[in-house]
Amino acid sequence: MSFFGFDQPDLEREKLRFLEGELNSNEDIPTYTWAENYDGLGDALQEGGDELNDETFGGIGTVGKDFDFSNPALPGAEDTQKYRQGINQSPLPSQKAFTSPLSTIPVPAPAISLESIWDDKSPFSLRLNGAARTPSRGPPTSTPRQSGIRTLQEIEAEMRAAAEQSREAVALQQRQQQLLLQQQREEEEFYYRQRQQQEQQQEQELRQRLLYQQQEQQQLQQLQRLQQQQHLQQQREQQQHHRTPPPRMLPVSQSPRFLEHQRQILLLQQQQEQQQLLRLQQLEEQLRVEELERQLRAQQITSQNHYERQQPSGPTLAEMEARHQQQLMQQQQHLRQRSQSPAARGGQHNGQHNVPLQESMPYLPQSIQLQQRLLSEMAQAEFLRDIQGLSQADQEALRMEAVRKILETEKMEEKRRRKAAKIAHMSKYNDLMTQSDKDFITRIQVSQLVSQDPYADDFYAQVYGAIMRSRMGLGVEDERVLKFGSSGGVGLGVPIKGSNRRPSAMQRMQQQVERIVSNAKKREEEKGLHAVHSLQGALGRTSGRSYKASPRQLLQVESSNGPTSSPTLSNAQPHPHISKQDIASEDGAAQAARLGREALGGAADATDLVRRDPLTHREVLVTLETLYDLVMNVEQLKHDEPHPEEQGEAVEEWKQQRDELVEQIWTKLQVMVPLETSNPHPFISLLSAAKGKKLLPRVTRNLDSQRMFTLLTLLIACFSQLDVIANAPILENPEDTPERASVERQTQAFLSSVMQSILPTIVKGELRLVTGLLGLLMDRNDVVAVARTKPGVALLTLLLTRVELIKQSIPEEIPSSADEEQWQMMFDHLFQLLTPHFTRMFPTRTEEGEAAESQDQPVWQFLAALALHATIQQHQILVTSLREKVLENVVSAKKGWGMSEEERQAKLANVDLFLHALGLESSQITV
Amino acid sequence: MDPSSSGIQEPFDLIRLSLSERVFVKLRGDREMTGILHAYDGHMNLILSDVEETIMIVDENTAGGQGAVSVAKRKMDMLFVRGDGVILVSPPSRT
Amino acid sequence: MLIFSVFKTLTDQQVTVELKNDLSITGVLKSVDQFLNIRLDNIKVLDEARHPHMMAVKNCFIRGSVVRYVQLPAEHVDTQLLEDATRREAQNQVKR
Repeated sequence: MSFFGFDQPDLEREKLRFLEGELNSNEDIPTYTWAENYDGLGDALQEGGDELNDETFGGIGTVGKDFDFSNPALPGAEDTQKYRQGINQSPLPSQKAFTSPLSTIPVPAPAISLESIWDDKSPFSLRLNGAARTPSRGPPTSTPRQSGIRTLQEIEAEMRAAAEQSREAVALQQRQQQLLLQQQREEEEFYYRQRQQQEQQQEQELRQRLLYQQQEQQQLQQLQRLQQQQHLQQQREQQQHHRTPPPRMLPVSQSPRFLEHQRQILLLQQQQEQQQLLRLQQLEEQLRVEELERQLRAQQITSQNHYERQQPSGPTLAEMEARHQQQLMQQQQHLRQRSQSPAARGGQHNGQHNVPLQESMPYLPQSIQLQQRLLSEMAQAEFLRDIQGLSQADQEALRMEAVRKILETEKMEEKRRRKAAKIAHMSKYNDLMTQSDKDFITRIQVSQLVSQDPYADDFYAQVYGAIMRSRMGLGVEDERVLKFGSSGGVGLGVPIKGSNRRPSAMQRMQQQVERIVSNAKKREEEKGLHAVHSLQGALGRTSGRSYKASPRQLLQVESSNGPTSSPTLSNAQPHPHISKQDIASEDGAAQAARLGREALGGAADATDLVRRDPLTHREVLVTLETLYDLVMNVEQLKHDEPHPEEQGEAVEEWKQQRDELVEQIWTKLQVMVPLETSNPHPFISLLSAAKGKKLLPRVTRNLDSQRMFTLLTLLIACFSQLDVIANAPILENPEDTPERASVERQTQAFLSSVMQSILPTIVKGELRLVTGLLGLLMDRNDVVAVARTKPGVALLTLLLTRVELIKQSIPEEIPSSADEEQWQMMFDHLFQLLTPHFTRMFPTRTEEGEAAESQDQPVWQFLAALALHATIQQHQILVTSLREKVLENVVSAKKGWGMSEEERQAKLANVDLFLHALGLESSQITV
Repeated sequence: MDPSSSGIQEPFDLIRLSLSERVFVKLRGDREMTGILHAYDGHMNLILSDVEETIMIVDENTAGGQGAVSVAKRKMDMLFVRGDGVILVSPPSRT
Repeated sequence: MLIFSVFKTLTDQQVTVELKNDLSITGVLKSVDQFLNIRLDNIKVLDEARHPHMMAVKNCFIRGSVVRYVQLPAEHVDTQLLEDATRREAQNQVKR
């Protein structure tokens, strides 16, 4: 127990004394004796069976006294002691290296006593000697090298030497500057002798001196703080070195993450130390720079003054600077002295301070430097103005300004300090998790989000992204699957800018995630049913109910087995193709009707006809939803296997599947249901819902032209049953009601979706077909009512323009004269029916200005299409009936007032549409 | 009701029928709204368009012990409604 | 995951979130997660006078459970696609 400063008892000796009963007399503490008849029988204990001990435990030989730590003087223990001391020694020199040059620990004596703690006979004398030797500037290699204990001292000596050298360099520079300054001063004195306002300048002088002093005080305080921090750090380091780590701290028993963490902490600390060293050096340099700057300014002043030959600002500035430099010099010398060994410390003296309290170099933090600079600038400005001889009041004002500026900077300082304090307070608990910890958690989260089939969970986002990309540009078409965010979309806690390593880290993470996912998939397959209830990759229990998106089922509802078909839908008949031979000479309407009937397979026969009520709204919706499911399946199918050429079988299978689905769709559409089944026809009922209208284009995409004809025919046959036609009169009332709004919406949907879906079919149709359709339309519907609706107008225009196209494209399709006659008859019929109603076709105006004209435009187009097929007489009729309307437009366009230019243009354009078809022009009309 | 053609198995299927249709939604806090239903999920989160929200305000100040009910209406183009506030979803009352 | 998916497509759009405490916040939707927690940047409280304590707040994180409504920009929502996605979600639910 020598390290506690006790004398070194000998266990053996004590035992003897105890046995002899001597110890009791010296102590007050109760001592326990093992009864008076303790006779040391333990020694006399004879135990047998020890012969086999060596065999059992392995022979050690004689037991030595190496473990007796109480008596270091024992012969066999020297090696261990030296080793121990070596350990004790090694951190100490480093401590000394740091503390000695900069320490403000007032007295060397405590340091020595600290060291004496480790004192132990012989080796320490060596150490002391070694310490005494280091202040000599001789190269560290001159000290005799001993077994590796010395190397640290060498390093320490090197560092000290380096520090001293740098300080010497600084001192040199300052001496040079001083010389320069002296020269300048002489010049200045020559010019400054004629000043008049000495008193004021002295005042300023004093003020500045005070300020400088204050600054230096602050600097020194900061320096002290810095040194204390370093000291503390070193102590902490030492403690870490000496403390035996508890078992749990052993590297073997820690998680790699924790170990990494510790390593990082250590690294950080080391880095901090290095940074502090650097900072010290940097501050020295800064100080030098500052000095230079000040001199520069002084030079400027001198040069200015020299140039202007004005009143001198007094040698005070230069004097002050010189004085300040002297102080600095002294301080540096003092420091250098302090860097010498503690033994030599006592011999030094702290002399020649003009500045109280200071004992060390002024290391300036940035803010105080700033302040200094500002102040010196202010001082110079003032001096300049003094030179120019301003009045007393102005100078006062200047002084006030200076004070104000100082206050401002102080306030900013204060703000900055508060901000820094706040940030420090907020970031007190930063860095609790290492980056690897965060990545670990992120990986788990990402594995939850990323799934095998991105379409399964993330359908909307994927498809929306695809649509957007196809709309914007076709650049990035390869990425069918959107990666969630550029960095995984999950907050990684690290900003991504300038991340060169980041992408590869993310890729690695994604690979890991894929691996996790595939492993989980395998596991899921193994688990079977249980997989449904487990959440892959989740932390903690996964058997809760909350993640299952549907609420618990309170009722067990029996599901119907498959889609049951209504008994009334079993009459899907294949209908005959529209044959070409059947056109006998009949009058137009009857012919058309017959055509239509034939096309629909003789619905008038009514063999299988079962009349029933129209589909209820609910039924419509159910059917539509089923249709939607089917259509989505078809689309999914299309997406999954777009005909790989190699596998013939797969292609066959795929085709089969698709055809099946299309069959089902066709059935569900109920197009083949007899015409008279219900009013409205089921198909028409389906189309009455907005959903149905929107669905039609998607359906028709999958239907062949045969079925399309059928569909089209049915549509036209039952055209007036459509809700848009039936409810159209409500549109005539411009009053804004919800019903009107809904009809408006439905009409819009019809025009965009349904018309779009039948367009390709009509465009391909022959003259005969179009004729037939027109006839059908007229036969089964009230054409007048139809023509007064937007969809009706659109349909009629479509048909008419198709015929026009056919007529024009003569080389391809030469319509037979019979067909043409047919058409003409049909057309005449139509014309007849519509003539009295031309003007009523124009919709009631709901909007003003230009928009109103665009409402009229479809009608004008239709009228133009009519005119294209019209005979001369029909032309005349057209002109007569529409004359008013046309004139109204033209006159108002040309002479009316309160209209925008676009509106006039629109009016004229509309009218021209019609007039051009007649071979006329609006300009021909004289107003 | 004709169960033969009905593929409805659970309440959510009923809601599904109303997709793209105008629906009436009753919410907590004496709120109601009508809008065109475009999306829903298992939590009854809804996305509606062309929405008109009606908030019932009971005015307790009138004398006679009875509070007068006034409404505040709001229109919105596209709205997400969180499911935990939804009480019921139904086709709009056809007047 | 449907609504989550929808919100993902609406990042960087201006939305208005109405909370259950009647506070309405408009801001740019920055990010969303599976619980429909929302991060908004550059927020503005709609009725400033009634909630002065939010005047200094620029960005915020809103827990999903306190949201009542979110007003979305109609032009950035594809209603047809929404409906299809809903049908899919319903299909997948049935499968599960």
